[in-house]
Amino acid sequence: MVPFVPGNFVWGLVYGAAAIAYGIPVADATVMSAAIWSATAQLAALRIWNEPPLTLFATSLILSLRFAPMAMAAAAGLRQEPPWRRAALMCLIADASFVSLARLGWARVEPGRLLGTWLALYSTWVGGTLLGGLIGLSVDPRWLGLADSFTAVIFVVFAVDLCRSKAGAFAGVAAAVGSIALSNALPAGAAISVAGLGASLLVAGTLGVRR
Amino acid sequence: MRELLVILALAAGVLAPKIIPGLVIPRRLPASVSEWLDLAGPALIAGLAALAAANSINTAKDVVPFAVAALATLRRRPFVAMLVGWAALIAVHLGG
Repeated sequence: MVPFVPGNFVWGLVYGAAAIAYGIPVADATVMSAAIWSATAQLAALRIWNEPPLTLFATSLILSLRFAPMAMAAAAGLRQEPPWRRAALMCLIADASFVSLARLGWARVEPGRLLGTWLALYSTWVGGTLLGGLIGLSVDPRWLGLADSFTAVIFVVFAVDLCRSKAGAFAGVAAAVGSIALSNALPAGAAISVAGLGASLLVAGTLGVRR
Repeated sequence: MRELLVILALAAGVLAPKIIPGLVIPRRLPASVSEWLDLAGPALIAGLAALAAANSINTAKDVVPFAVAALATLRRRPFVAMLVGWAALIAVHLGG
């Protein structure tokens, strides 16, 4: 989890600064980070801030579709919990926490561990937004790209590590190719969901899971 | 008032895909569904990684840090592989 924290803080800073640049007050930007807690949905919302709330809801939903299969996989590992508690725990899932907890295996994930990853990511995201808004950060786009690349390296390492089995490797390669191909036609969240679910269904159906 | 509505709309869009699966997943799942969900996690992360890497690649040399990190993951522990990938990223960036 630790490697994701600095990058998450930097993205919070950038979001806070970007919100100010779009004319959103620091308090509103911070409340948004606290209530929404999604970099992709919040950054997209900045560009369509004046659209009707229904449009904003639809955009946010499409960008967040990838969380549905993530929550399905995670909730399946927490089946012993009552549904209301499982649903509440799923609110603590983000890309980075899903990646780091998936490495443990969902059967071994306890609610306390999920809470710990959420605390680390949530506090740095909200704190970063507040600080970025207060100091009105001016960021060179080249450094922004580099911060994004650091996070991408972490995702690549964990993806390769998780896809070591024969079935996992097939599913991983198919999902990677599929998500890039689909991203030309679909928003990123939907492309990842469709490619990930499609690839895992295809591999589970044709190869079977043998580990 | 509008700000509050906007924030609620955005939050609902983010939370719905997280909450609904948590509510509907039954206590007992067929083995085939459990096995599929075990594969779905790695596949989703691979899709996420591919898009994140693709968004960071503008020229051929930008591929190097990701290739190095992927190869290092096959031979070393993930944390070491990540440091190796970051070092390659800084080297490529400083190399212009």
